Amino acid sequence: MSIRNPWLAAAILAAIAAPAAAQQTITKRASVAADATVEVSNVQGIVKITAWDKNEVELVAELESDKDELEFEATPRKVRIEVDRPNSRYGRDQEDANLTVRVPRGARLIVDTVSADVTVADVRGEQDLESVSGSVGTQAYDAPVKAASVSGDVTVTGTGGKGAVKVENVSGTATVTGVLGSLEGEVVSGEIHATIAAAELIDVNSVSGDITVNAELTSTASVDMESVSGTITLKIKPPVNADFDIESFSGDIENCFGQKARDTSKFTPGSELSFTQGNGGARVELQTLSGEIRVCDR
Amino acid sequence: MSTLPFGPRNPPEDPLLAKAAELPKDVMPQRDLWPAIAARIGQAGEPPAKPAFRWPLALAAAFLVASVSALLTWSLLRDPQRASPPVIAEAPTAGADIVPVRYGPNSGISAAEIAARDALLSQFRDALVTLKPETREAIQKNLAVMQAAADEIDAALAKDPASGMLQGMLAGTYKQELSLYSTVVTKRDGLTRRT
Repeated sequence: MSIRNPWLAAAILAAIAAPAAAQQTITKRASVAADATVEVSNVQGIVKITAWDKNEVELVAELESDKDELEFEATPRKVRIEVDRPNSRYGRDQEDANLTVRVPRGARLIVDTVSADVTVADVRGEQDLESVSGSVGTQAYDAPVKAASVSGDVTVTGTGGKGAVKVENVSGTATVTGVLGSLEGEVVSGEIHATIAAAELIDVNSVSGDITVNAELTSTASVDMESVSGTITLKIKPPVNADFDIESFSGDIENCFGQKARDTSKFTPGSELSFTQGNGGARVELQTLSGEIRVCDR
Repeated sequence: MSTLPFGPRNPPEDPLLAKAAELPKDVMPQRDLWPAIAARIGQAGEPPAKPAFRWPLALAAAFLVASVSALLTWSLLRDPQRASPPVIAEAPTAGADIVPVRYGPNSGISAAEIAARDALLSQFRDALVTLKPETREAIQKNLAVMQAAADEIDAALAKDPASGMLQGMLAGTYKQELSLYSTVVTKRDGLTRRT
């Protein structure tokens, strides 16, 4: 087929060429300290951060929109990477900005996105990762990790380090596995699923979402789990040496250690259960309004 | 190390004490406490109730103040030009149908706390237009979840006004609501240019 109208041919060529001209790939590098702070902000697309054995930050940014502005500011102590997008309603500007960043292994990360997914691998420094609707996934080492999303899922995988982990979610699911020491979590309707070894601190709560925690408790552990209407399930790895205080306003309490809950009042439907299992020591406090509480060692 | 004089002997020298002295001596309760008291009197055979501890609400209020002030400070520091007349990019409609959580008569949340929440809410509504439709939908669903929780807690507080557990849960729900607004506003303001 041949196109005889030169204006039509030009229009077609322009239409084909325009997207190609709009998309741009930008590479930036900077030498930094081994524990430099790296701040990354993005609206839409992905943020992928991996660690390497160089004291350098490298950014490869693929910007689909020519409206996006890339900012890259670097000092030896701090690098700031930001994709700045004109204020707009969702639906008009759907082009992605995909950021691939390599950072020193000991870097400290601060990442903020609106709907961009965030993945981090092998970074040992402190991490503060937040998104509105993007998913957030990372690994926990010895430094604290905070991973939060409003509607995206959050995944934190432990690697044997003792860094405190904090997850926040509204409707997404927060999954934490293989973490040592400390876990704090908050969800609204989302769920929390966590496995934690040598737990010193577990403090998780939900509005309606279910919370399931498999934990090995130290003798001084402090466990607080609370839900308004979600189900709380706590499975403790034997041997269990803990003091339990369980309270429910109207939900059921299931305790596989044998002790039965008693009514708190003849005027309200509340029930409570306090007991010591084994030698005691760890403190476990579980509360719900209308959800169910299950505690067991298997 | 010198020690600052402190106490009633030095009120004029201590501006904090001078201000404290100006505070009203009588403070009216935020709501009618009599129905709850009457209900408790009816439980004469019951062991004395635990004193109502208000620290969860105080904590939530502190969170609110910290969130709002941090948000404002952050906005000003980030781009001073944004502090002067706010430029509304386009008339937002996506946030118009957002209904904030209504806290019942037993919640103890003050009008000032609700007003501060509503100030944050208006920014949140503006920010919603930048989010994906499915995210907006998820947010609306979760506000409905919070509303159901607030209603359930309020009903439970009517039966057991002194329950620290219930007050803590209400404060937690309030904090979750504020945290949601704050997160969306912060991310929107931080990552988009107002043109």
